[in-house]
Amino acid sequence: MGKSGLILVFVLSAVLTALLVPSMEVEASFRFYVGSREVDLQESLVVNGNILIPVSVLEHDMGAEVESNLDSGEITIKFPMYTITGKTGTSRVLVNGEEQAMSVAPQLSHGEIMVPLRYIVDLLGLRLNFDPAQAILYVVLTEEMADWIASRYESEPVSLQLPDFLDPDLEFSDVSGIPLLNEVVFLGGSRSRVFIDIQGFPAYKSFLLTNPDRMVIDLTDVDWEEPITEQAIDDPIVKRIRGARFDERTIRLVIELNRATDYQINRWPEGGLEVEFNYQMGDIGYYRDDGQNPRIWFYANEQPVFRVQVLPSPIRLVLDFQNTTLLEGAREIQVGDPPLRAIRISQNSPSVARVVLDLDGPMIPVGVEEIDGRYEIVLFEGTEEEYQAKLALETAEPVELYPVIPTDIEIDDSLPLAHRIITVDPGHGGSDPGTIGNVLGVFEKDVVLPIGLELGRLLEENGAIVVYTRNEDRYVSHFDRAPIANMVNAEVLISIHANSYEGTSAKGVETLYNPLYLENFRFAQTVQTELVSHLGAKDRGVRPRTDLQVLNHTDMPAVLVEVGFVSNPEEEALLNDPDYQVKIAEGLLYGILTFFRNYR
Amino acid sequence: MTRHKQWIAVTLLIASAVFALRLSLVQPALPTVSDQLWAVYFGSGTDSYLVPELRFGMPTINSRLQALVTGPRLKGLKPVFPPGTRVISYQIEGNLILVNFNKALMENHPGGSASELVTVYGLVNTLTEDPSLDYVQILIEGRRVDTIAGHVDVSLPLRRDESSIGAR
Repeated sequence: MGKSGLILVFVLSAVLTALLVPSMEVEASFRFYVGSREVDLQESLVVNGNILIPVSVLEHDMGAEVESNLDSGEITIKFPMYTITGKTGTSRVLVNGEEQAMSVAPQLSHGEIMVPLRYIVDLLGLRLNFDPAQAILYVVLTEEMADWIASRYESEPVSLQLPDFLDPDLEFSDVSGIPLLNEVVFLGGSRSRVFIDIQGFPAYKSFLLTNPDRMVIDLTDVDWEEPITEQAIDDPIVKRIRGARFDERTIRLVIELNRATDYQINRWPEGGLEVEFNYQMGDIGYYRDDGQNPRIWFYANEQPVFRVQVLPSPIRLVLDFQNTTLLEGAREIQVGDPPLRAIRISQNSPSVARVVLDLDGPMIPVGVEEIDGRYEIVLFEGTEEEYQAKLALETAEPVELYPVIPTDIEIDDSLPLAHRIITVDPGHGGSDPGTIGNVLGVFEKDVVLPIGLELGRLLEENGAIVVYTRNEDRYVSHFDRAPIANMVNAEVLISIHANSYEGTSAKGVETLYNPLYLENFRFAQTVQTELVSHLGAKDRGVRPRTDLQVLNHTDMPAVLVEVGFVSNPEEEALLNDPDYQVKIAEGLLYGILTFFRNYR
Repeated sequence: MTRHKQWIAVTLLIASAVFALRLSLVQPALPTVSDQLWAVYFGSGTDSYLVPELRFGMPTINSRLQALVTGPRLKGLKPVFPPGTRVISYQIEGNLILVNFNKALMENHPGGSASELVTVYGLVNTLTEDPSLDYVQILIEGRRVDTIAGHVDVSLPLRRDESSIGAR
């Protein structure tokens, strides 16, 4: 799993956090006091950092007269000094006949109209405090307001006095309302990170401007207690940080740059945004080390991740450095050390620096080393298979490689799938047997591998370049399979599985796909139709799923084909039969051929 | 009539029979507020979709989980958990429930995407019948796992999936 696994875990935890933070509706869990009295909120919502409470709380605990119409969503809230009229779904309200905007619109939830608490509290000139240690949200009343509330509810006296465990002077302003920008901190590091200390995750826009080079972030619906101070920074990338109010709703942060470079913006799990500038790539060169191994060296502030592609005729090795800016612009280095003819370096997109090696014979990267402050990519003259063979001689330890597509094959351009890169993914493998048959005890992993290998052979006969996620009985995490297809720029991914269900009667073929893209549906439908008709199997149809590991992270159309049920004794026997396995591979091939003919 | 509708018809029939019996034998008075119907989801016969089995009483999180672990009462419905599955604990955080299972859920799982989907959404759909719950996070002995049987991504909280209910 290694590095990609780590990154994945990080991304996942970020997503999980995003699910749980108030970028959407979440239920709040805290106690609530109005002056001296605890109030049962029954229900509360947090929408974009704003706490919404039921209007009945205003009516029963804060002295308001409320008229609401659940059907139309219209609502009138009367306090001694203010009459607020509004409607669910719109943040515009009339206060004593004058138009104002609430921080978020009132909304209907479980038969109650919910309004933003912060807005009401501010309007009445009260204070809203939060004690994070006790998880208590409390409204500090004015004398006037306390008297008014007390007069409204004679049976349940309310006074100005807070319970003694609550501090009337505590300020904790991020509970609701507009998020506050506290400060902007230059964190530095090799990627010149800048942290924007802000509560929650505000909406923002960011872009680069030139003359002078600068990066701009516009934070929407954000406030600050005092403007941030301008900072001069001594750093290779960041020159100065400043901020100003751009318009009523927007604070604009400007990061002046010593040179133009792309950036990424990351959300911190606890709130706040981090700007991370691209890796900066300097001089690049080539030499052969003591062992006569060719090496590409380059200078960079930190080691960027790169993707590898091998392109056939003429053979090129393409290294795409992600999130990387070239310092010295596009150039070409003539090398003339066979098989390497030349190195071409260019900024392929703002985020990708591309290094192309023009070759006369195959060459693949096999490692990266950091030596004397620079990075060196160790190259191997030959194909991946040759490298593996060499390694097998040298060591028994398997080495993880960047997946590389084969280069040493002659392809007839007239073939229907000529030069199409196709990823074949036999499910499970190694320590993961997949599902196990009811009668013969057939392992899913042992059925799908020969089907996958046969499909690969048939695809190659039709001109395709086949990249397997596994071509032997080996464990590969299902999370790591889509990245393999992505890395080689495969045009489709086909994942082969065998199914199982409680009992013995379920049988047939089913194809799963992610409905996010129409192409997935077309691919699924085509493969399902061809396979079912070729096998004469029961058609269980195609099934849209958004939650499958293999299908969720591919950059290309992808399907997961369940070719039959090992829990059904008849299908188990068929799946175990090499002739039937070939037949399945043929059916899958016809599906792929039809898909490319009709949609590519 | 599709098989789906047949199931619902059968379920409702049995439910109303039980209801009637209960009324006449146990409680001659009018049903109280606690005579509430609630659904627990199990696998259907062969098409591997979810079918609601109706139960009486005031559902609690405990009773919903217990019903899933015990398995279906109706003949023809399939359990969603493999043998030996136990719920060690659960925890509610707002609209999210974290359910912590023993290893049997993974180790004894028969595999196959059809049965994995039934396991995952039998749980998620049964628990999200509770209107206060929107998300279910599966844990195995206190840890998040990528998957139970190699297909469905359960590393993140899952939402209710209506498309798993019923039949084609």
